[in-house]
Amino acid sequence: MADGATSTISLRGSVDLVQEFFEYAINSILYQRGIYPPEEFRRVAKYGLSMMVASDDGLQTYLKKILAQLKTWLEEGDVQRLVVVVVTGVETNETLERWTFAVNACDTENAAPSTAGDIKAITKQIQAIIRQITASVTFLPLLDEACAFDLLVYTRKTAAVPGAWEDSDPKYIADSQEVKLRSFTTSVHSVEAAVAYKDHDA
Amino acid sequence: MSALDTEAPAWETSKENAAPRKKGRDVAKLNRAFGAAPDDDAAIRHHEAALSTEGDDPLQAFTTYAAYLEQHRPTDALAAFELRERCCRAFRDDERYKNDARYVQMWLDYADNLQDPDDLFKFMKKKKVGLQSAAFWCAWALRSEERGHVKNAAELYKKGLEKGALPTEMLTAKQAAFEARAVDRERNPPPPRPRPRGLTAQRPSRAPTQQPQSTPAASGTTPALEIFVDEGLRPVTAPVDDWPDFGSLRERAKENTRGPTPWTEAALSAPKTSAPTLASAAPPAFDVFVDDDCVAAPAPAPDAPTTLRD
Repeated sequence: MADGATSTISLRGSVDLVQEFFEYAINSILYQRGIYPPEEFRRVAKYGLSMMVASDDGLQTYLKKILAQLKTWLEEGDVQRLVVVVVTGVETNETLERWTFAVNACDTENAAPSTAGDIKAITKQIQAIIRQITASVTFLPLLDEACAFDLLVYTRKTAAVPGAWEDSDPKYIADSQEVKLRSFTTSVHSVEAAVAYKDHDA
Repeated sequence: MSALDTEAPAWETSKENAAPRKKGRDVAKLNRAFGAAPDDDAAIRHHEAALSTEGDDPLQAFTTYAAYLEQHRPTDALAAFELRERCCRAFRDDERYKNDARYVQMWLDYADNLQDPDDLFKFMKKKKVGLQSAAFWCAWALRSEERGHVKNAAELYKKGLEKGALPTEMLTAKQAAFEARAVDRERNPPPPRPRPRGLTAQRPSRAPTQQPQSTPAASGTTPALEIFVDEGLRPVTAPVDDWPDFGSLRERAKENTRGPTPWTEAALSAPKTSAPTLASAAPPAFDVFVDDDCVAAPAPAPDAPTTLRD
C-alpha cells in the first residue's frame, strides 16, 4: 500500500485507504443507528478500534459490489460525495438521516510532505471520525421504527456509470439540522464527514 | 493529548453528560450549554414567573419551560422531570386539557422517566386523560410489552382502537409492529434461564393438592367467622373520587430515601497490615491498545510538593 521507503502514499494506496474507510464507516453507521440488529455484526480490530462489521452474506455482497465500483471511480477521480441515507422502512420512505462523505482531490504541490501521507497520522484521523460517529448519538433523534438505508454517490458528469446504477433524487431531509464532523486526508484525497438529521422540534 | 483534542467540539467531549432525548438535540444549543457556564438565570426566572394555573392557556408556559430546560440544561434531567410532575398534578382535574395533545405528551414524558409506569397509566385512565389519544395507548402497550405482559399489550391496542383514539394510523402501525415482534418471539424464543439448582433440590414436585371446594352457604354449618353488619349504614349515592391524586415521586419513594444522619462516634481504626503488594500480573489475554502520544511524553515530575488546590 504505502511506499515503505519514503512513506508517501501513492494514488493507488490512497484509493485503497479511502475505500477501506468507506467500508468500515458504512458498517459502523448501520450498527450504530440500529438499521440491522446487533446480532448480525461481528467484531473486527481495525484502526486501533474494535469495529463492528456486518456478518450477513447478502449485505456483504451488496456492499462489496458498491465498494468495487467506488474504487474504480476513485481511481478516475470521479467521486465527489458518498451519501448514506437512512429512510423509514414504511411506505412513506421519508429520509431521517443523511451521512455525507465529501471526497476532494488534494493539491499535491501544496501539501506539506511531512504531515500528509503518514499512515499513522491518517489512522488516527480515521479513528477520530469513527469515534465521532459513535458519539453522535448525543444529538441524533431516536429511531424507534425499522429503517432501511440507501447509498448515493455523486459523480462527475463524465464518469462512466454501469447499468446497475440508476439516477436517483438526492433524498434531502425536509427540515434538517446539519452537523459537520471531522475529516481526514491522505496526500492525494481528503474526506470530510457530515451528518444531517430531521429536526423534530421544527 | 494531541492536536486532535483542541479541535474536539464541546458536544463530543461532554457526550456522556447530555441526557438522552427522543427528538434529538440542537448541536448549537448543546455546545453553548457545555461551553462557558451559561448565564441563563434571567431566562429561568422569566419562565418560572410565567407559570400559573390561571389564564387563557396556562399549559403553554409549562410546555415552553420544559422544552427550554431540556435543550439548555442537558445535564440536569431532574429539573425537567420535576417540572413535568408539577404540571401534570396541577391540571389533572382540568376538563379542557383532558385530551389536549400537549398535556397528554407531558404525562407520557413523565411516565418515560418512571421505572414502573403502570400505576400512572391506570391513574390517567381513571381521570380520563388521553383516552382519545393514540400516543397514550401505544405508550402503555409498549411499556407492558417491555415488562413481558404481552396479552395485556394486545388488549390495550384493541381498546385504543375501540375508543377511536386518534391518529388511527399510529395505532394500527404500532399494533402491526407489535404483532410482528410477537411472532418473532414465538419463532425464536429466548433461551430459558437455567433455574438455580438449590431451589429445585429443596422442593420436590408433589402432586397438586386438592383445592378445598367452596361450600354453599345453605350447607347449614355455622361459619367460623361472624360477619359484622352495620345497620345504620346509608348506601353511598354520590360518586366518590377514591384516587384523587397521583402524588409526586418524592412522596411515593419516601421509604427508599434516607435523610442525612450525624456521623457516628466510632472512629475508623487503621489497618494493622500494610497494603498488599501487587503480584506481578500475567500479560493480558487481549491486545492492549497503546496510544503513542501517551507513551512518548511521560508525566512531568512535580517540582513542588502537592498542595491543596484553592
